[in-house]
Amino acid sequence: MIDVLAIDRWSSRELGWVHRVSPGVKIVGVILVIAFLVVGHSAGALALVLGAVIAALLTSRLPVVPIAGMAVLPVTMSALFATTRLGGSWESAIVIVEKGTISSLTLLLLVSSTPRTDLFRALRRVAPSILADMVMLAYRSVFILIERALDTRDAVRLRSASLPPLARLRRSALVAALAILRSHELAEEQYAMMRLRGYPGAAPADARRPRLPRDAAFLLATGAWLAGALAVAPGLPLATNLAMAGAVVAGAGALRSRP
Amino acid sequence: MVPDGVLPAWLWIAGWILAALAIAAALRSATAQEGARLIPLAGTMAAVMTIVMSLEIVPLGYEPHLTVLSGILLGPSYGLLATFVFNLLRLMVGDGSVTLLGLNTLLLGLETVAGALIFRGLTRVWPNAGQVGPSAAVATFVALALSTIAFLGLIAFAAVDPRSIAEEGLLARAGTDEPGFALYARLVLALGAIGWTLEAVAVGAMTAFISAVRPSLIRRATVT
Repeated sequence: MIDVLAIDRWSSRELGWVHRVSPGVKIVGVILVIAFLVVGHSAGALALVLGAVIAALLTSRLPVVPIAGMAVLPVTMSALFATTRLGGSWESAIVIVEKGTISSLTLLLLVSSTPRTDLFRALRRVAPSILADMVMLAYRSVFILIERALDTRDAVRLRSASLPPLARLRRSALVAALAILRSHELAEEQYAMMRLRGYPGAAPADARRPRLPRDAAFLLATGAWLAGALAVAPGLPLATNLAMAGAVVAGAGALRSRP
Repeated sequence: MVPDGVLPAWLWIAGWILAALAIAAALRSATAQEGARLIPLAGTMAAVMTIVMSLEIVPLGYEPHLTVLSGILLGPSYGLLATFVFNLLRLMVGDGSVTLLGLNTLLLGLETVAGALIFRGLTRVWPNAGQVGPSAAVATFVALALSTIAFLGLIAFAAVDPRSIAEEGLLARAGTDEPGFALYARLVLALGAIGWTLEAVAVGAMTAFISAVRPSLIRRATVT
């Protein structure tokens, strides 16, 4: 399971340069990468972008191993899916795995480096308020639900004997229902309190402070890298693209290991 | 999971457009009916779906979502919105594919809306409190079956090669790497039926429990 508690912890600390880019600009960057995934079908171009995403992760000062671990499930699913395409060509299978990996790592990088309040504030600017509020409450409820469900499961297990499978399924359903009811009560109370206090309110002064040079540099670098990968990489041998991607990752690794 | 950029563009673009229309209609209906009252419950149910999706029944390749429970508790409009939010949250945790957000919302939304309407119909036929659980179970089974048939219809309509979407385990069970659409559909329906049954039992038990301890949640959904 994705460790949402850890993501929340990393996103709320300003660890590195990715954290300091404005949330809206990061969202635009993610949209650019996704647009690239839609139009890009060259394994070489995708390798270059994957190299850049891994380099961003390595230099972001986020914990690399846990984030890579979180990306394992979607990447494994992509790999399984790719094995069903081996009848086509090796390159088509590689493309599928690369797309799954880039998509998963990019979104993990976004949510691990952006406080959820900033993400939701950006969301409220572009989405209807009902939807934005639902996303915020849902995100928050994930933490409460997991905690409540685990507590309730332990309590029920301590008080009941071993049961046959169907009875166990029903017992698990009751545990889930109880967790839902408790989580709903908390969400209802919190939402009522937030509205009474004037939610959504204005953004904190720090969130409004312009970060133009850094944001512009981030967007320019992202756009240039994607456009370059799309324009140049398909004309080069796959090995050359892989070597360039490897060099980018190695450079980022060297930067990360510097004290 | 089908990654981005695999299904034909016309299919997922149509999915986005139809999903946007459905969400706009649901927003309009939700605002008119309930105002903001159901937002906390909708958020909670979206979170429930986000957690439950990770509990895949591996031998079946079946991923429960509890979309029908959302429909039962929230009604069709808020249920559809919660399903959309669930799909957004999946993206935020690095699961799911962006281009297929529309199609996923439509297919899972069909489960939510059909489940809500079937449950509402059944509670009118069997109004006793003791029949709430079985009604929810029947609604779940039928809604999940409808959604799977809609998915298969989509694959057939778009002439997608089953090999490009079938899970590896599914092909292994078929004993062939070249399954035609009919074989693929039979496998999906046969394995799916086991998953629908398990999910129906769980949703029936949950609905019966919620109806016993908080009947207002069920009543509100069956009235609105």
